[in-house]
Amino acid sequence: MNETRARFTTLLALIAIYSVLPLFFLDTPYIVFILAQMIFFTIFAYGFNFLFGFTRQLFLCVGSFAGIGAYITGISLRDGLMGPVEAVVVSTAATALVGWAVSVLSIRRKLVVIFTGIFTLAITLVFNNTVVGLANITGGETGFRIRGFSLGPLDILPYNLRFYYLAAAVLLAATALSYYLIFHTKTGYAYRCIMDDEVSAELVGVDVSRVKSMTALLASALLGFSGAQYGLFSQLIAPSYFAFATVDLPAQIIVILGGRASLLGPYIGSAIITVINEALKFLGPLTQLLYGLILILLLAFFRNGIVDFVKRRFLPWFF
Amino acid sequence: METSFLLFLVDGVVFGLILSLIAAGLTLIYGLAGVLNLAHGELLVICTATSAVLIQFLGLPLPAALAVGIVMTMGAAVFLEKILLQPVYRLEGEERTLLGLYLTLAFSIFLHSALIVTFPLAFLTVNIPAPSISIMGLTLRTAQVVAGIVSAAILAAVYIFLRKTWSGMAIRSLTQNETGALIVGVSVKRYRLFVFLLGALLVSLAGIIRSVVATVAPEGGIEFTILGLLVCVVGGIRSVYGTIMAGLVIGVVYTFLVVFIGTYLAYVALLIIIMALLLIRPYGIVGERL
Repeated sequence: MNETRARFTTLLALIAIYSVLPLFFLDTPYIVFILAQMIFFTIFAYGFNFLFGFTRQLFLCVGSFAGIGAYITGISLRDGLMGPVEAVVVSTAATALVGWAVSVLSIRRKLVVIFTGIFTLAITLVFNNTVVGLANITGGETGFRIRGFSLGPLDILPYNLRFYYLAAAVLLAATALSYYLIFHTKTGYAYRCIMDDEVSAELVGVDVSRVKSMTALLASALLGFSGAQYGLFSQLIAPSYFAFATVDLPAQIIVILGGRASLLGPYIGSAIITVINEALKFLGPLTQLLYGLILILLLAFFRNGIVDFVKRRFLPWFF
Repeated sequence: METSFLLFLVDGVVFGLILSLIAAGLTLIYGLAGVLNLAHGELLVICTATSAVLIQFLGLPLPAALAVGIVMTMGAAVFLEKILLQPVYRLEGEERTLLGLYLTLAFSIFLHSALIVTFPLAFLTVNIPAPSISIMGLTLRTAQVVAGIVSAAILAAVYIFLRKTWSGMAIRSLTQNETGALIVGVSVKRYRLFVFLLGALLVSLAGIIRSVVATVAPEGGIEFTILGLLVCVVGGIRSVYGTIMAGLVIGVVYTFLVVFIGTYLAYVALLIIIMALLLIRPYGIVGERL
């Protein structure tokens, strides 16, 4: 009971922090912009964490999934094909379907984790090539602008703040849902079994393939949903915004730095990465090189992440 | 129509042979070290970029520049194997594959950004001065014929090396059963390094041959990695013979797709074809189980 209360307190604390945080920076829209971006990346990391951290499905196409969402929404709004709600629903469903299909395919074919990795890496390449290749629809390498989109009652807020609160709501809802799924249903046990050993998980009666494909479905839906919003938030939808290096790489670093298979890890990881990123902005294109280096060092020396470190040292109830 | 068909076929075969060279290294490294080297395509770019810098900006003669390029690539491979991948070898099974995958991915991102930041203009093209020749009514570029023959010869040499020499047999035995090979006195450490060096040599030769028929840009590494990986997957990841066959198939199919539906959509079609192929034959076209 005590643990449930601790988790509930954590969640409330997160909600409090995330609703108050931007209010300190109201007169500097840039910081609010950075914060909003941080939240979007926390969501992307959440998706990756569920796929890779909890169910060991190495999806190297987080950026492409977000991109699928953004492009479908962006194109349908630009050409007036659908209303905003329908567009977001359709793009979420489309992304979820792709993620689910990839997951089912790799489970059916018993693809080892690396094959899923190769496969999804190829999807990233395919996504990029499709977007650049269909230049008359997608605007090719330079992308297209999407402007003047209304968020209903949130419109009274300044632009960045609107999307900040929208993204924060999505992130916190996703966190609350994950808390519920992991600690109040049998999913948590299933995840723990799968993380340890898939074969024995199957033996004790966990429906491994169902858990995996459902997780892929939900995580991809989250990615497509937030990707659609991210596209609207950036006002420009271009392939470089959803490239491997711009989305997948930071998301992976966030997950590994924060802690794989942990619900608070992405929050901590993204906060640290945002600060580092802002501090090193003057390096320009070298940032990516630095990301590669950070990832190498993290993997070699700090594979379990901050949450695991803290948990072992100080707070056994943290997870 | 028929002559251009044959020309595309030749194009595809040459491209396929180059892909086989890349994938052969990947297969050997995966078989022996249990690491799927995602930095393989970047190794190719190291070779071509180094040579291009040496030729364009320092004016070194071509053979010397290429030799330095190959040496640089092998140096990077030694660094990768001896320093970077050390923590990987302490792990077993899936953990090992995963960490290996991640470390090489991180290394490849590191190399990629280092290369495109430092040498954005280091394109490598090698011109063979000889003119076009005609065989049986077909006009072929000499460069292409030379590239095809050389890569086929290298692949044949690798194949014979693996079949006939003691070292080749040692490598194959390590791939099949590491403990067994250890018992009969084959050193894993030594052959692991050897395989990385061989892979680096093959991939740099692939890069050089590719730059005879086309341009190799410094940002093209990831594309070669992915194509090489697809070849490995289609060929059954442990078999060099399967890799060569799969390389030819993918090279030809890809070239025709490029001709008929364009460069960008060719990838999409290729991936769909490979997905379908994997659904029918999950263990690759020659059907070796993992």
